[in-house]
Amino acid sequence: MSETGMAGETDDQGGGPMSLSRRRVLQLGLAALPAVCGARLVSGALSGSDGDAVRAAGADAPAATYDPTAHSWAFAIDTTTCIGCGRCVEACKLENNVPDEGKMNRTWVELHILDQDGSVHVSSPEGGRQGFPTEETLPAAAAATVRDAYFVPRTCMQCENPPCTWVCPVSATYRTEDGIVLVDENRCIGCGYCMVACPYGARYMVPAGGATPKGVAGVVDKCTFCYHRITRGQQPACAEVCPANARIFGDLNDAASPVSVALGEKRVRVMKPALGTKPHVFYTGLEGEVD
Amino acid sequence: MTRLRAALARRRPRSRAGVVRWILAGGALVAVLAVAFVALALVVPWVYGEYGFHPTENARTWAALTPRYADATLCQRCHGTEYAAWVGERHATVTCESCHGPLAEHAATAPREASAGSLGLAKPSVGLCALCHEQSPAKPTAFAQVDLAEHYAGAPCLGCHDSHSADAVRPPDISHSLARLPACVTCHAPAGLKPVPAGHVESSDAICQGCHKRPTAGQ
Amino acid sequence: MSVQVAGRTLTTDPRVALRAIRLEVAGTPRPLKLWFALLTALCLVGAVGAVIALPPGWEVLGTTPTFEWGILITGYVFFAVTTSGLCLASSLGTVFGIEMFIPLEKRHAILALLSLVTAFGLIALDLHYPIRMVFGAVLSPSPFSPMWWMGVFYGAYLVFLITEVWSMFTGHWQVHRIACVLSSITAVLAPTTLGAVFGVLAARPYWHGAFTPPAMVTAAALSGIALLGIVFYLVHRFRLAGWERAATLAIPAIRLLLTITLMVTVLVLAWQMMFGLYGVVPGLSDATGALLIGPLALGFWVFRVVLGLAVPLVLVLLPRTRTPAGLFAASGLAFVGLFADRMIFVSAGQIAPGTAVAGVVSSPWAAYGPTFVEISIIVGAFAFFALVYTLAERYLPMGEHEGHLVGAFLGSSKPAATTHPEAPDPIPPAAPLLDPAGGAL
Repeated sequence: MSETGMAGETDDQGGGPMSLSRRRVLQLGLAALPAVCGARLVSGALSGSDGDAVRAAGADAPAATYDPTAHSWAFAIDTTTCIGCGRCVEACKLENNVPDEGKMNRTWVELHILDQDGSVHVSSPEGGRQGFPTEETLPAAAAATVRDAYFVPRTCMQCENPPCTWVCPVSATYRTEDGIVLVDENRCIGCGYCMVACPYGARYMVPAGGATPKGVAGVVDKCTFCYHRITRGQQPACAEVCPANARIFGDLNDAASPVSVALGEKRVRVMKPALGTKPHVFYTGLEGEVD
Repeated sequence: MTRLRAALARRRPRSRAGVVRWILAGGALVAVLAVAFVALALVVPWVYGEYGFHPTENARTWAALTPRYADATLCQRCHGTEYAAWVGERHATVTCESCHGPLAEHAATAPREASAGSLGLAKPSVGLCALCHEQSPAKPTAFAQVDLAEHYAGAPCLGCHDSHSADAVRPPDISHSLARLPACVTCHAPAGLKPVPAGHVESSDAICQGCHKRPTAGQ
Repeated sequence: MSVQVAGRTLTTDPRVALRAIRLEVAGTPRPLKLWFALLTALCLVGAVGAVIALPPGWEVLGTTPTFEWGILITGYVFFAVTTSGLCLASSLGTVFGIEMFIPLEKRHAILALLSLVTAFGLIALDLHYPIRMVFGAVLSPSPFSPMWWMGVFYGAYLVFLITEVWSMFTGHWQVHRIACVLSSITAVLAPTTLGAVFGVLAARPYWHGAFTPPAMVTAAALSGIALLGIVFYLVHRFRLAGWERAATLAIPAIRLLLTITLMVTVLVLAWQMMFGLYGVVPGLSDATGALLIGPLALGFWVFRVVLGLAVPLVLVLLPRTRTPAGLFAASGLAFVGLFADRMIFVSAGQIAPGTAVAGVVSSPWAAYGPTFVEISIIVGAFAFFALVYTLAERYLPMGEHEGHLVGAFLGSSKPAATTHPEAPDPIPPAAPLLDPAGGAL
């Protein structure tokens, strides 16, 4: 049998145990290229879109005038004034197209009840979106044994050393220069590693079939400090609607901003400082048992 | 060592052409993969710059989303009366959208009348007021809160309170709460004082008697 | 038109192939036909579950923001450590040339390749965008991410395993030697990266720590050796290719490895529990409590400790049960116990109420229950593994090969005894300690 030729219709070219002709190899190779490119298109298609497509850019898009290196955004949350009305949770859901499910929140409010015997009860019905009806969360009968109770608004901490960005295998989540940790919905593979890595439980997986923040399901989403608002000089939606001045937002680089003033006046602490994450959300009025 | 050599010799001999074919096949596969990855690298945006090391373009898309909540100064342009009643009063920390929902689209749509349907909330309900004002041990004691079962139970909040200034204009502006005063308030609340019925007897409730020496005619 | 594979000629003419398949199916013995039918049915069930799980974002899994890694991740971890353990165990024969481990050489490679392919299939079903993972890992790599390194090492391991299997069946012994060495090295490194995926998370005290990677290697060894014990008992029982040396050498060898690994695992587990209970470390003591007396206690004590460690240890140590059947029982129980162990490991890291999560306060425990889709995928994965391995055992030459005549990489240069793959061994088993009945060590 011919050792070197490929002419002729017979495909038995001899040679090694799996003999393939050069022509067959080229055929396979050429077939593979569109398959490989098709895979990209398929993955793009699989990134999907439901009724909520990506919202168009607003008329006053930040683009040219916003300098991310000049800002360092942060929150100062005062738990001594929070009344647990849940307007912040509602505003966040509406502003950012967050899914309706009660357990999928970018921000949420917890009710902490400390008993006389030292035990702590934490509840967060639907993230606090419908408030905390007293008879369900802290009925009068139980109030007798309560030493202290207060509300704690929670959100992504936008850490300076975020464990979530370190562990992402495809570099889909990242921290911008103005301090906000964002998720690239085109790169995220939905492995959930950042979700288990976050010590504060700030992330959730976007389900299909309902509202989605950017029209993509199966990726991870989290609070972005309303990046589209703060780059236009507005406040995050939760801070905008808070009736109790519990959420004070601002720029740490600006000494006159509300958050800098608040940090100067109050004793603040962060959650889980021992993990070294350096959060950008500072709390006033927490008792020791909170995280 | 001879057994080793024998074993090596027993392997099926490979022709040079066969080896060349395998190398070409491998090279073709590697070339195809390289072309594919290069093409994809060109397609995937790979911009670094003002937003830092990681995806710049993606940060820009997050910043380009459209806000849905506006702020109170925007509402003032059309709703001056409500704004005037609201600003500086006790509800001044409650922005318009805290009760009325996201209004940026409503404010931006012309004509305004057509966009009225986009209002999230036209008239707040007892449920909405209760979110903030229902009494709870977890709320700060200085915060205005009432026990709904005892504070004019069943009455609409807006029957007495103006929603924007939070003032209770009726009944008369007195300095004390009318809660937990059943003897007087059974007849004199919540819709306003009723006309004095015939045969009305002075209430023996000492608390009421502290100020109301004589039953007063309805307003 | 035909293709030569492993010394056989396979036709690619569809009609001829179909007729050959029909004849083959008719010629299969009845118990084997039932076995194939059962496995195929379970594979179909798994396929249905897999198709349902494919669209990204469909909430068909039982995972929640509190408990994102469920039974699919457990299945992936299980098959990934099994594949590493298989090469770890067999490296004693293929790399170090120790005589009593030589019979493991061919079967371990097939099992390892199958196990790795199954693992990749399971992770592809859990990831919402698996295709993006392949491109993302190359175009936007993250060397700080243990999961990226895990992908690199298991990907390399896949390449080495494919090379090992291919060179084994086509007689390229030099390539085979090198591939065995490379896959043995990767078989140690890859499970450490898998352990690091869990171990670097300071947010999860149960997983956190430098010991998690070596503990994962221990689990890998146990799982791989247990699987080899199951397979080689079946080789002995059904008189499959190379069964005489399998019975006399492999089974005692596997029993030796199993005994050692079980003892090491018992020590590791005992210290893990004691560290978890020492003091009251938030998150860690909660999780350990969940294991010992909480929601995971049933699975832990029954499946992990008693069935997975205690009974197998008794079976391999007692003289009365040091038989091939005893090894089969011990290996089977250890294998099941290790799946339970990985499930408990993945659960314990997430179950403790470290914090409220996005509106769902995990108090007192985070809840997770596998859905039908997840269970069907896991069942389908095991069925696929068993089905393909049975086919391989039936249609591929699985006896010992000539490769070790080339001399193991690090072992002695003396060629081993067997000259023909299928013939009985003319030279009696080497070590005088070995009992032909598979007895005392």
